[in-house]
Amino acid sequence: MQILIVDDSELMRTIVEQVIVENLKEAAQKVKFFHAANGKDAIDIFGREKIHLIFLDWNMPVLDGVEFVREIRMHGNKVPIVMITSVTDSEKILQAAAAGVNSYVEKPVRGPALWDQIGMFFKNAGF
Amino acid sequence: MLDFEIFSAALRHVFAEFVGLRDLTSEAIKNLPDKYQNITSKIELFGEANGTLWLNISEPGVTLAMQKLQIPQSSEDRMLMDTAGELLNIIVGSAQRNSTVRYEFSLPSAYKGEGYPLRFDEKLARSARRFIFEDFEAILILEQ
Repeated sequence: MQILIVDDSELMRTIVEQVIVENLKEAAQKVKFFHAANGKDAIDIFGREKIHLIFLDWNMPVLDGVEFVREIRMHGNKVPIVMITSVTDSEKILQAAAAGVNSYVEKPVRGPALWDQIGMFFKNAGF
Repeated sequence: MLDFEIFSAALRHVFAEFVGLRDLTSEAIKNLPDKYQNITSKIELFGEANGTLWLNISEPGVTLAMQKLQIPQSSEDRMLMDTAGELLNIIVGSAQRNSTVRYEFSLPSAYKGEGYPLRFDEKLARSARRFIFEDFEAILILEQ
């Protein structure tokens, strides 16, 4: 399984990867992580790697999270996308859903609370 | 006008629930200090009201937050400033949920340096609160 974590904050990319590795335990060896700090770099990685799951921030420089989602959904790709963001405005959340985000997780979140919200994507993938 | 107390409450929430640090006490500040702690992050707020939110915090405070978040220690300033910026980003987002004034916000920026002054717009009003934790202090400032 190949996972793409997109966030301009290295802190958040590290936290998301840590939570996944800690919860998958030995099975984490079957996961390869890719990191991107903005939507444009994420599109570059997405174009050359087979990505199975994306964790995505909204507010990022160059190309933001929703623009990234629109770009890849425009080409018909159905990869699951989990948005992990500090944006809590309800109208903005609806915009993200309309763009094609599958799940929305509000910061601050980490540890067990984060796993509670993202664990199902790994169960669905057979972990 | 943005309600400063919503941002103060959000800071407490984020430090307690996300980082795992609770402030011992806090106090409203009328006169801002001449010199500040050495790390500052800043976010612009815009929408029904505009403003700038600043988080000024000591390096040991950010380092302790990174330890609590189990982030590998790094001597690089980049990670310290990334952490300070992301903490403020989460504070602003957390406050957005409770604000009756709708706003959006910029990406955070962060600075590190010793004994520098923060430059404010003298035409704007400022609200500030100092949060005292066991091993460090942080100051939250809203300019609008």
